[in-house]
Amino acid sequence: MVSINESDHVFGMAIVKIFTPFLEEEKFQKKIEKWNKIIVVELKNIYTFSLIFDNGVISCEYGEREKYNLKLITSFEAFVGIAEGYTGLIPAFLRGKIKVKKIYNILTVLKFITILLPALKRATAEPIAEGYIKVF
Amino acid sequence: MTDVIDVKKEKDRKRNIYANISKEKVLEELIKIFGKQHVSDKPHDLYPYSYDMTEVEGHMPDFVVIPETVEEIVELNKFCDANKIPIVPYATGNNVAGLTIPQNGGIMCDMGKRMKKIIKVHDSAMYAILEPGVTFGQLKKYLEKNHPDLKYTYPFAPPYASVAMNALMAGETNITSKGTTADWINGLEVVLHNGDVVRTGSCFISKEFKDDNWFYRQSIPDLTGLFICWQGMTGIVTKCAVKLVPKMEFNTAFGIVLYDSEICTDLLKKLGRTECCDDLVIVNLEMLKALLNHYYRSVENQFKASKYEDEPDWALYFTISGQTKEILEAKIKYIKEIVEEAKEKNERVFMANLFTFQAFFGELIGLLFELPKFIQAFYYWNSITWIGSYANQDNFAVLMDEAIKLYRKYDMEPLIYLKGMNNGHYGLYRVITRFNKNKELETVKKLNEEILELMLDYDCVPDKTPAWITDRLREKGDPNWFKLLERIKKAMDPNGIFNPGKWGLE
Repeated sequence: MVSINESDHVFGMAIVKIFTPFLEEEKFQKKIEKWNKIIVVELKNIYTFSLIFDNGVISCEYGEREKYNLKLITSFEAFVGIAEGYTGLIPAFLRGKIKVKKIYNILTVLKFITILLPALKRATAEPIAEGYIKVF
Repeated sequence: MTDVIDVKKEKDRKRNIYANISKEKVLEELIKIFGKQHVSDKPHDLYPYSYDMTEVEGHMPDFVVIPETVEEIVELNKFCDANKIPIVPYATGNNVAGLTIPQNGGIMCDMGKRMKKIIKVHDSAMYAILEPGVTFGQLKKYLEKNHPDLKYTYPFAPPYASVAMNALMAGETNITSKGTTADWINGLEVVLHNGDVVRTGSCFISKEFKDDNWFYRQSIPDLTGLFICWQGMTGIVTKCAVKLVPKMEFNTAFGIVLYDSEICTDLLKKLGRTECCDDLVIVNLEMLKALLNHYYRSVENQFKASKYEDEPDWALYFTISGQTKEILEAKIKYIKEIVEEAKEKNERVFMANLFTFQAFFGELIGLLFELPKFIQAFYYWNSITWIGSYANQDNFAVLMDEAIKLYRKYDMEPLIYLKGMNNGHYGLYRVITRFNKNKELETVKKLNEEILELMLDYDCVPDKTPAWITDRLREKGDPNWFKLLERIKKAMDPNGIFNPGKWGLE
């Protein structure tokens, strides 16, 4: 059984929203149920949050945890670019739109990508509100 | 002995409304007009009319009547005028600021139950004639089914609110480029104190009621103004014609999150002047969080929204439309240039399409733009109040920052909501407080008093004013304005029967 804790900061709320649909999926459960990692995300010029995977419980805290396994430094624009389809998550890594601290934890990087990518794909596949169109 | 006068008792003493006629006689007469099943003096029927969702003190009416026809209201007005009995017009019960609290007792005239017909939608002249009980949801559904090329504008109100009453109170809209909902009124049918039925606007041109000439209200003295924002004190509106607009084929929306109130309001003004945005809104982050909490958390997990230091302070969102995709894209291009200019001044300005926000926050965020509105999000602590005003947009930044300080001072949750109106001629400035009436009433009253002073310091014009605000306006405002107001009230309602006590007028 895996779960996600409610979050009270705005990007944490987004994290909860995009991961929640996966909690019931066996594949996702297997990925995180024995995973204990802390991933810090710094959104440049906005703020930093810490994504904590703790034996199947996901939390997203405001601020930077002192000890972490991985730190991603990115921008709002990079995330928007991924959401709007200008770039993919992996090309964003390769082009330096998402920089990684402690890159030597390559297995953690790769696993995190396999967790985040389906969540982003599903989120961006949602239909837009009725009567509105996508124009970027 | 004390010099302190109990204002409520004093009013009751001055106004013994049953001095000339007994309550029994009144009940008898009301039953004659409306029929037994549409009149009540039972406390359990009257209680729902005695309060609203705000901090304003409640008061029981003596009777409620449920009219169906204009003729019944004619008879009601004649009877009440002859006997000086107060009538409080009422529609769907989403009232604020005590506007329909019968502070002197009297008769609630509830038009929301049986006077809710859409009398006519004139497709080519683009207007609808409505009875007072027609709701936003009802009109939207009707138009989608019968006139899919037309639409009305929807305010920050629930779908079960009355279209006509909202327009009469100059509500804000989601097409702010066209002003308040009062600007959308083409004409009214009103029953005056003596039972005369008057029609204002272009529909006055014939002696008989016609439904095909309610197309505008200018080039004649604008008598419609005698009923707008008068809080039901000059007559009982029985029909209201509102403008409709063509539904655009292509619509989109953008959101900008940012930190600096000056940059935020500067951007709002510039975007208004492009004349490209239909709706143009600023909310603080706590307001956005309150909405997200409402959508995605269970009732027991709701919390009062707060903000971390480095989270963005403000969100500015706007809708854009066009009859063709090319028009829409041209507007977007122009707007993006303006946003880029703002980003050059401050790099903490972040814009994305509605689609992107939906991806991260869910599709319900689209409800910011259409009905049903998210006002339900504000009921968790059993009460809500707000002080709304229309303001000079030049003062927005200071009003935003100072309001936040006041909320911090009282340790309350700030929910701040602003709109650019009429492409920038003025703006809506509203501060909302959701609270627990049992625990926080006194704090909220003090907070509201300070917010009012802030608004008055910056020459904001309050809207939907409760009595305590009109009292303060009397001290602050032009005395000749109030004298004229009193003279008009006296002329329109010589026996003081319509919603007495509002605007400080009996």
